Amino acid sequence: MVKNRSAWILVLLTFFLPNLAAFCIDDPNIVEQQYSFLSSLKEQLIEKEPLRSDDLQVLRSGIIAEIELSDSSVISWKAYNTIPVKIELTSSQLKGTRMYYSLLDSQQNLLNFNDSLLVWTYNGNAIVDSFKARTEECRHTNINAALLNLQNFNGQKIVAYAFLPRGAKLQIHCFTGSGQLNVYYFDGSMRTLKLSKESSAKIVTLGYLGTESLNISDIIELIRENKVCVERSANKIRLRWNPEAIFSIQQTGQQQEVQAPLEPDSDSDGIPDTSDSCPTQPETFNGYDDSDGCPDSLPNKPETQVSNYEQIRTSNSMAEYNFIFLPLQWNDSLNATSGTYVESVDRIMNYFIQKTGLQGCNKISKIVMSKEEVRDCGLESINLSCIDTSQAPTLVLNCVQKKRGININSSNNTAIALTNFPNLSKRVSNGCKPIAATTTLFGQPIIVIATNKTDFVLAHELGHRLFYFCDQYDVAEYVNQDFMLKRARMPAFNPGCQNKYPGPYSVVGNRVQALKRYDVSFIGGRFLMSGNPSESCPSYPRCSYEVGDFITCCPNMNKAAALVDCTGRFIPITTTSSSKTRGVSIMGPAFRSSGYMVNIPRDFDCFEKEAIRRTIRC
Amino acid sequence: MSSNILTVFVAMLLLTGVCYSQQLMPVIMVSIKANEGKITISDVRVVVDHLSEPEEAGRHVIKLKDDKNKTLYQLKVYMHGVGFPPYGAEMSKEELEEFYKSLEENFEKTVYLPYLKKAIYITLEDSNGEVARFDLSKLCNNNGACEESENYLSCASDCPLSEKDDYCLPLKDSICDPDCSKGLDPDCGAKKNMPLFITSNYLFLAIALIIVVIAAYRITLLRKKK
Repeated sequence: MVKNRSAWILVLLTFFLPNLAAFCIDDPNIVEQQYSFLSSLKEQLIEKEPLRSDDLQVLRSGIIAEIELSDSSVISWKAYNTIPVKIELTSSQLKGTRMYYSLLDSQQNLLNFNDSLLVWTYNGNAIVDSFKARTEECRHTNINAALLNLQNFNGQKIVAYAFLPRGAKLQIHCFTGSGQLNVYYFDGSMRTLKLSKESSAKIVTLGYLGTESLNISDIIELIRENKVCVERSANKIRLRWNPEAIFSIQQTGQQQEVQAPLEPDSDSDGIPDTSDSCPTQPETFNGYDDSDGCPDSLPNKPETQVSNYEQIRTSNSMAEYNFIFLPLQWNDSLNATSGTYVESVDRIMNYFIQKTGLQGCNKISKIVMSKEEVRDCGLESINLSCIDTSQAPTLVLNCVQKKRGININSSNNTAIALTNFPNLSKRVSNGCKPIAATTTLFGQPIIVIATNKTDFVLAHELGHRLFYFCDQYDVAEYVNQDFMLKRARMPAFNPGCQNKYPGPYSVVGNRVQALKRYDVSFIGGRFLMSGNPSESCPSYPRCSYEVGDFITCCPNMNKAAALVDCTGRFIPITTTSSSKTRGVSIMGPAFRSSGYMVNIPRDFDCFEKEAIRRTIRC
Repeated sequence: MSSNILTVFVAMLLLTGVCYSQQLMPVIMVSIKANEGKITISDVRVVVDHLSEPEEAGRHVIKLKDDKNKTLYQLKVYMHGVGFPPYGAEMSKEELEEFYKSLEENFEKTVYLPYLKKAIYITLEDSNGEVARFDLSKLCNNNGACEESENYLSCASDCPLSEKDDYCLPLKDSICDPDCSKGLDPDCGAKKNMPLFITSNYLFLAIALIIVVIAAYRITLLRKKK
């Protein structure tokens, strides 16, 4: 019986899974010959513009490029814009798990999953089974998806290689059980996605999101490492990805990582199996029997009690919010005597905080220090060592309190913006950094702005603090330049934050530069942001919507929206359609890991509408 | 006082059924600090908030343990500061690397864990073992004084709602919480003066009644004399 089953599996594997290793020839001499041959054609290939294509029919076989030859002369060649990814589904109990999956391109068009995803399972180190993609419907929804059924599965994990267009997505329907999806990318980066039992469809980005493009020189280089295989016939050369060679390096690397000492937790609810009365069903954390590990719910939820908790939380988390700006030297546009800057920032900050529903923040106190005060307080001589601003908060608070006789609540909700700090700038010559930054170092949120190129730098840093936006770093760029390669596994440098400013950093020469993918300004009354480039999100038009309008951007994204402010300009904020949301939410705070939500009423009244219109030209 | 605690926890019990995977409820807020690489649990309090989500990139685990050292709850945390280089600014690779390196060694992080009564201490662990520990008995030591880490939610006996504990509970319970800013607690408004006003009126009526009775008595005496 066992032998019969093994034979069947062998046939199945042969049929459905062309042995990926067979793409390549392991003999180093032959590999070198192929490399040399392609290298000799390199100049010809570079001269001829390749045809870029997203032809989906070639996904399965992993073809990168096809070259037409005539007597060792390149006639034409075309390349397919698909990138290999390795997908691992792991769980302490995969047996019995079922899921329906579809693959989508970045525009959410359905990909032909039969050709695009090869799925097989590992039991230990050996392939033991494979899955034929077939269209079925799950109970809850009519879908066109492949079924992954692990009813009698005894393996440890599911492994799949896919050759996908950039930004491709995986849509999961009717997932049962719980698990973790690890996605490994060609450039050494990875991301982890947690899956839990849910009936609604879940869409996760699976495809590579890096920005760099492979050129023919890169591809030829990869032949030597056996990461790209060459198939030659009389007048045609096919180059294929060899995912096993690509990802074997990562597997080795991953084993070297120090893992967190987690105890087994089958349902991933945080309660270890040894303490969990329901180890396969996640606990419902609601304050009722939260230690037993079992799902539960109680009926009769009066709205008043819910709002009570909301009130408790907001009244404590945001009750006091102090901003201190110093000194006022902002390219001469921020003039303490004219008050232009003061009024503008004051109005905009109060407006945003009040109107975005941050209850308690209407008690915001903003203190703007004049140059004289800074001097009198001795702040000019603060010895800031690089970005070590540890001395600044206490000094600033003490000085302001003493000089003005006011009491500032020195809580964690105090943000101090050090603008154009002279000593910080001076230290640039000593090898320190001429940067702006927002950080929670030393317990105080601090916005350090050492260079004053333009006012949008301040606006940007304020965005972090007020809206919890965080930057989106393109780790792949660094990896591509061999920079911080060891950190490539970090899920960006700002973990836990989903509320990203769009726009990656790029490497220009030997410099790392933030690309201007969005336009953000606070001081002019604007807080404007274009969409995420990977979502093909159009820029928000200006000055053409009524106050209170919501404009949904990127229908496929369902995350970005714009709220028109009283100036007729847009306040882009991220929204989510999840059940967690009531109204518009700002998700993924920069300084907390648990998320922060605010409600923005659609019918908010316009704060000093006419006054702002008069002072700010639209 | 116990009725107030009951109010809080009844409200907590009634909060189920909301479609949130993470609901608002009393949770243990844990502040973790790293100073020059040395990690400490600096502050622990019970507050109303959402639970933290696990951070898969983390190599540390924060655990709630009972008196038998059994783990009741565990959460993977990513021990790293959060910092943002500027929009539009140019930095060399070395500068950026140094910036992030500084965030590895100096940061403050807050996580929110379920408020489990069986838990007696919190541990922070990495692959080499325990890094930091906090004794949860500090949340309530029942010594009659409202001390650091204690508040009404965790220790009503030491921190009655009517006294300051640095945590605002704006409950409709006829008790004014002095920690609440003006206007937040409905019990801190005009309603509180009502009993005084009523008491004053009763006092006034009582005095008036006594005066009337005395006056009536004097009038009666005068008439009798006549």
